[in-house]
Amino acid sequence: MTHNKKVIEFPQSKFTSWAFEDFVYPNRTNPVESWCEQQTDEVQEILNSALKDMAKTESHLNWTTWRRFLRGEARKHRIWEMGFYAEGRQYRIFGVFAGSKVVILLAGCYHKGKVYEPHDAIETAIKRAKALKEGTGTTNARQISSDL
Amino acid sequence: MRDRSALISKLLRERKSRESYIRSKLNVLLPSQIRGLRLRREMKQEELGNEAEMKQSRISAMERPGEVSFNIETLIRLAAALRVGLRVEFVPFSDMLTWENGFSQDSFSPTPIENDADFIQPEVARGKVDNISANTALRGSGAITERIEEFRPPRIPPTQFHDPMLPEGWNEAISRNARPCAGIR
Repeated sequence: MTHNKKVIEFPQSKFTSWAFEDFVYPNRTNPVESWCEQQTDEVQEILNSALKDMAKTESHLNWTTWRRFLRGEARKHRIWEMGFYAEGRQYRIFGVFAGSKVVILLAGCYHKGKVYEPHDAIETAIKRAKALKEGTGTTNARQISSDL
Repeated sequence: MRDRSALISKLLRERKSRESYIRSKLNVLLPSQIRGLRLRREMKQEELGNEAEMKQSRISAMERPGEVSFNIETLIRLAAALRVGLRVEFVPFSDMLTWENGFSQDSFSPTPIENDADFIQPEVARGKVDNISANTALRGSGAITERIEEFRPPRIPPTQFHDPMLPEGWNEAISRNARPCAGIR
């Protein structure tokens, strides 16, 4: 009986690129950017390139940097991690999705084995996700440099 | 945000900075290309691994930025498994940046060899198809596949081989494309 099936075609939504925002404290300090600035040039460049690539890839599951949604307490806040490898270290950035095609970056760290540096990076990400919900934190658009 | 002029002066000054810059671009764009192509071919990592004679875990690592230091041989094997060509080219930095800015995993779709009319039948691609790219015209219609099936290597007429130094009977045997005596070298 499948030949009589009525196929309803939904209009394909046009993909608009992802936008990235950094978590910002009410006093306007940007801890994500501060963390980035502490990293080497190569790490900063690979992060910029990765974000450029992610912005143009519609499904987050196809991001080459995509890792997983975190478990435990972080799971309640739908915090996920992305990652890349540079200069002998595994780098991780924690983030959340916000609205349509918007990503908020919460915190960055690197890890070797099971040790995160800073060691409380996940707790920090959870605190910042809570702050966003409670309105005690805000965001700032991250400029992805196309000329770098 | 990083100051562009500071980066530029660093790139002009230090070879190590230039290395880092190039590495960071390739470390993102190569995995993205591999993943994009694999998904477009609807292959699992394991299937690509089998095709390229690599482990699934290696394919997985190659799809993650920075995880693998690629060598040319690995890229050749992947390109062959994904049925596309490979171009490694030294270019100006501006070209590399343009490539990065214009690259999108979602729209990255190099034509596989079986549909590559420009390669298989360049004369068709060059002019016999009016106003439409030969690739577009032939792809999907099955025409390329038919043409491949039709294609047979031309028969080369046997030539009379003769080497006066060879023992008796060998010249005739080589002309017949047969071994006169197995085991004798």
